[in-house]
Amino acid sequence: RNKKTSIMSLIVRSYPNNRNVDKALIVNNFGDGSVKIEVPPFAYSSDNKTPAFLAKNPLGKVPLMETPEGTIFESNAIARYVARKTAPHLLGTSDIEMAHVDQWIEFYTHELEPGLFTVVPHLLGRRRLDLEAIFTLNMQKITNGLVALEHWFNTDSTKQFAATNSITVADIVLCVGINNTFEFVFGEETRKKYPKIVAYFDRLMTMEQFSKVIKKKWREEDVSFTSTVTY
Amino acid sequence: MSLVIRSYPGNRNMDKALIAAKFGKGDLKFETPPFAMMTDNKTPEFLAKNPVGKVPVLDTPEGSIFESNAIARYVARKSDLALLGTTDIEIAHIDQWTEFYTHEFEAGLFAILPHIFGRNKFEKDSQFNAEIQKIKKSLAVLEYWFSHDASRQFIAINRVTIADIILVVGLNAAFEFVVGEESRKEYPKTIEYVDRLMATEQFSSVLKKNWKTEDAKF
Repeated sequence: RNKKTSIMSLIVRSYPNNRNVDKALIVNNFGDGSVKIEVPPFAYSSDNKTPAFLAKNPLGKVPLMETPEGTIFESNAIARYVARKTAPHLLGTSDIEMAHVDQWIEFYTHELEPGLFTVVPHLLGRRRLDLEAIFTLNMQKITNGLVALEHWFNTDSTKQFAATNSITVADIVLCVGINNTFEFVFGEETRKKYPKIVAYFDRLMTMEQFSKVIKKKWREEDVSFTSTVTY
Repeated sequence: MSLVIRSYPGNRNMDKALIAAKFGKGDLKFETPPFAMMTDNKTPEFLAKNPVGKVPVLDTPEGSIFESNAIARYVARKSDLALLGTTDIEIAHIDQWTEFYTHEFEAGLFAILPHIFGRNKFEKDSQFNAEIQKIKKSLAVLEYWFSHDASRQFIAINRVTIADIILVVGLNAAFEFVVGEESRKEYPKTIEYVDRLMATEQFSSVLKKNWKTEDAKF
């Protein structure tokens, strides 16, 4: 396939405005234009329960990406595939760079995401927690993750990106996650504790590849157990 | 190549990398020098490598790496690149199953093991049961996946990959500490898969099978 002349069409099965899809969209913005990503209408909670869907993704979750070579689930796997097709430098260009990209994606998955996945559905009213202690514990988990990330940028003031010395998928994953954290969970006063993280986010958002996809709508106040938020 | 593991000795999160190394030529040398948990993982030097302060960290001639899955992938890359996939779609399928493991299975396991080990007990049994349910739901997904295609021998593609290594290490831990014999009977294809892989040299030289009889209780 001649990358310069043929367009590869990738179809994402998901409800609209799924922020987990943003990662792949931002990756594609760094690409050579050879990949086109479409997100057609999808009846979430029925279309993802059909036998045909489950045969591709037994978990029944979205997003699912259909490619000419096969289907892929899990938003990070999808984002990496898109990078490989159109902007492979985003994955790292040496073994140690690739390891550093991996470790920061794993960091997000282990240190920030679990807290967010517990707290945000509670705040949205989709999966209310019955114990305030669980809410507090998960807020602390998110805080611990932010403290670690702030420390990372403090250890080396020349550090512009998380994993290597140029933009990678790790930055894209972190940027989407940081945006969600400051839109749904932590307000202005708390953000003052993480100036390096805020500067890092704002720096990434000066890139059109990010700002075309992510809308910054950060909350004023921290949330509490009884707060509610909307998308 | 000399690789230094910064951790308490016998950290089972390193098993993934050790198994991956078995697929190579044997030219990777792992050392685990003495390491004092609670002090050595809090030094400025350690935090400059891993600001989370967790173990393991791997010191390589090219730099330091944290997060056991990132370490395992690096070791796989140095040992046998085929473990990570040789075509774009193979790589994606390996990635998706690794992500499935991390998000769906490991989340439950990492939440429940500290309770079982007495390090961070849940307040209510409803929390414990919720995590058990997550683990069982993941096992049901795996069972469906292996039942759906009787010829499927490995999780991601048609040969062993880093996804199998990561998954089998996790499943072995789940069967050792959480999921007992009666429950395991609900997932025969998954058990077969784990047994088949654990019987191979690369796995059996690293992992010990010591599965629980009873399910873990709150």
